[in-house]
Amino acid sequence: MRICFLVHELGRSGGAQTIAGYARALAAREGWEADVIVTDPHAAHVAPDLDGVPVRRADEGGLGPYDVAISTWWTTAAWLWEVPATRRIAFLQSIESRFYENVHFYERFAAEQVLALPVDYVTVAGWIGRVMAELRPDARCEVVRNGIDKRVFSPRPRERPGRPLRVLVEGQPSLWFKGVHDAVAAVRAMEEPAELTVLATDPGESGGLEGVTIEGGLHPAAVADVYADHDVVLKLSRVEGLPLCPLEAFHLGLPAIVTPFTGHDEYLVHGHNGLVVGFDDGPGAVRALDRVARDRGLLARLSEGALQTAATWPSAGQAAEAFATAVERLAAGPEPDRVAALAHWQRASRRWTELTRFEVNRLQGMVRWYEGALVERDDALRERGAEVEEYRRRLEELVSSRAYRASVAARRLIPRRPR
Amino acid sequence: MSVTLAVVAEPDLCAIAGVEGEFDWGTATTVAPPEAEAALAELRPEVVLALGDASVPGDRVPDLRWLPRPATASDGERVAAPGGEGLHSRAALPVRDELFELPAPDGGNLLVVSGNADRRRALVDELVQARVAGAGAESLTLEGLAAARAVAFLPEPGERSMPASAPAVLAARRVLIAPPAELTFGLEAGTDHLVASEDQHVLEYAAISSGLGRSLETLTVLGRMTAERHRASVVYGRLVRELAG
Repeated sequence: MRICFLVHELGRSGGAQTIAGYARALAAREGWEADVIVTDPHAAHVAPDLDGVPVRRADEGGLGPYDVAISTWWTTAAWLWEVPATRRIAFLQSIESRFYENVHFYERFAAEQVLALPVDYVTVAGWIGRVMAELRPDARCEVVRNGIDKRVFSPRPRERPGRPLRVLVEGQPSLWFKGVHDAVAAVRAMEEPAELTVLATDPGESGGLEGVTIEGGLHPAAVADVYADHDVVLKLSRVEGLPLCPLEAFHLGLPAIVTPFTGHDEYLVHGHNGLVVGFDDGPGAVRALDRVARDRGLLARLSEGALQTAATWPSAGQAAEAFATAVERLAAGPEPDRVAALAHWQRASRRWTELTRFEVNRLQGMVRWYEGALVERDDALRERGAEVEEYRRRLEELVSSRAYRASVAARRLIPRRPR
Repeated sequence: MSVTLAVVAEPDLCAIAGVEGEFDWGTATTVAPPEAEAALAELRPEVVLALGDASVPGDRVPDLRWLPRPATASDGERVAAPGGEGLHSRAALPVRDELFELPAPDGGNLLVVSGNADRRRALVDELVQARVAGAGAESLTLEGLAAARAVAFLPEPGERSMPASAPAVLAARRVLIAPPAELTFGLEAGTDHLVASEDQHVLEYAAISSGLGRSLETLTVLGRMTAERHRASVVYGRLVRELAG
C-alpha cells in the first residue's frame, strides 16, 4: 500500500503531531510506503524527511502514483486531485469550519467544502462521525480515536498534602476558541489558594495574558513532566475535535474540569474522572475548582477515575493499527457516490451564495451608513463654518462701531488699582 | 447515587425547560405550582428547583431558581440565569429532552420572539407582505416552536447574552436567528445559527431561509449537536449531583 499525507505545513499543533505519528507508523508497516507532501508553496524549511518518512513538496515533480492520498486540513483537500492517486480520503480531526468566527465567512465556507467531496472519510471522534452520517449518509466514514503514547504518559506518584491546588490550563491563549482567558479568570477568582500554569503550543503568542507562567513548545516527555507537577487540568474550550491534553493528563492521574466542548464526551464522565461546567459559566467554573481544592478526597476519586479511563484508552500503536485498517477497508470498498456528493455540494453552495450575498449586503449597508454619516458631518462642519464667519463679521462691526470705541476710551480713563 | 428531583414550573416553561423521567442519576418530576404542595409531600425530593417565577409552597426554599432572564441573586437564594450578579451559574435554560424529537412542521412559519409587542407585530406584518408565513410571541412556547420552521429572537436593548431558550430551537432542528451576543453558552454564530443585529436582517434571513429548503441542513445538524450540551437530563443531572452533595 503506497499512501501520502497531504499537509499544509509541518507544525507543532496536536493535529500535526497526530498526522506525523500516523505517517511514521504506517511507513514502518510491512508492505507499506508513506510520503508526507507539503502543499503550502510558501512553506519554509521543509525537512527532507520526518523520522525516516520522506517529505515532498506538492509542486515538485515525480510524485506518486499512490494507492491512497489523504488530505489532513481543508486547504490540502484541493490537492487530492493534483497528486496521482487511485483513492482519496479526507482525514477530519474536526469540523474545520467551526474554527472560524462569523467575520471569516469565506474561510468558513471553504473549510466546509471538505464535507461535500466525493471521497471517503476517516475521523478522530464519534461526534464527527455522527455529523457526517447526518450530512452525508452516502459517504463512508471510519472513526479512529487518537491514541496516547503510553511510554511517555504513564502514572507517577502524586502525593502533595497541604499544597495549594496546582491548576494547568491547556490551550493557545491567542486562539479565540480555546477559552484560555476565561480559564485564567476562573482560577484567579477562586476562594481557595491555587497555583496556575498555562500550557500552550506557542508560548510566545500570549494573547495578552499577563502575570501567568506559560509553558509550551515542549517535546512530549517534558509535557508529561508538566502534567506530573499539577493536580488538575482546566480546559474551557468552545470548539474541539478530540483534544488529547486531558487524555494524556488522565494517564498521569490528573482529572480535568472542562466545558462540554465537542469531543469531551468521548472520554470525560462527570463525577468519575472530571467535572463538566457550562460554557460561559464563570461562577460554575470557579465553584468546581474550589470544590476539588477543598475536597482532596474528591480530587483523589477523580484522579482514580482518570487512571481507569486511561487504562482503557488505545495506545498510539493501537490507534495506528486501527488507522491502517480503516484505510485498507476504505481503499478496498466501492468508489464514493459522486452524485450524492454533488447533490450535497449543490445544496451547500446555494446556502454559501445566499449567506455571502447577505454578508455583502450587510457590509455595503454599513459602508452606506458611514458615508451618510460623513456627509452629515461635512454638512454640519460647513454650517458651523458659516456661523463662525457670521460671528466674526458681527464682531468686526461691533469693534469698529463708535459706541465701542468710546467705551474703550472711557475705560482707559479709569485709574488702575494700585498693586 | 440516586436523587429525587422535583422541578416546579409554570406549564409553558416546563414544556421548554422541564425534565421528566428516570435517569442514571435519579428520578425527575416537573410539577405546576398549584399541584406542587401535594406533589412535594408525596415525592419527598432531595432537590427542588424552581423555573422562572414559579412559587414553591410552604416553607421549602428551592435549592436553586433557574430564570430565563438576567437577574441578581438575593437573600441567599441560589440563582441560575443567563446574566447578572451573584449567580450560582450563568447559563441558558436547559432543553427538555422531548424537544430533541419534535417533528418538523408541514411548511411552518417564522416565529418572531420579542418582549416588545409593537416591534414583533411590525415585523410579522412585513413578513406577511413579503409572503413569508410569520407569527409573533412574547416568549418561546412549545406550541410556537412546534409550528415554526425558524425562530427569530429580536435584539433587546442592553442584552449581552444569548436568549435563554435559544438552545431549545436548535434541539428541535429549527433554524435559529439570534442577536449578536457576548455570552453565547456554546452556540456559534454562523455555524449553528444566523445572526441578526437588526430587525431588517431578520426579514432578509426570512427570505433566504424560506427559499433554501435542505440547504440549511448543515446549520440545523450542527445546531442540534450544540443543543446536546443543554439537554435537560444531562444538565439537571450534573446540578443535582452537586446540590445533593
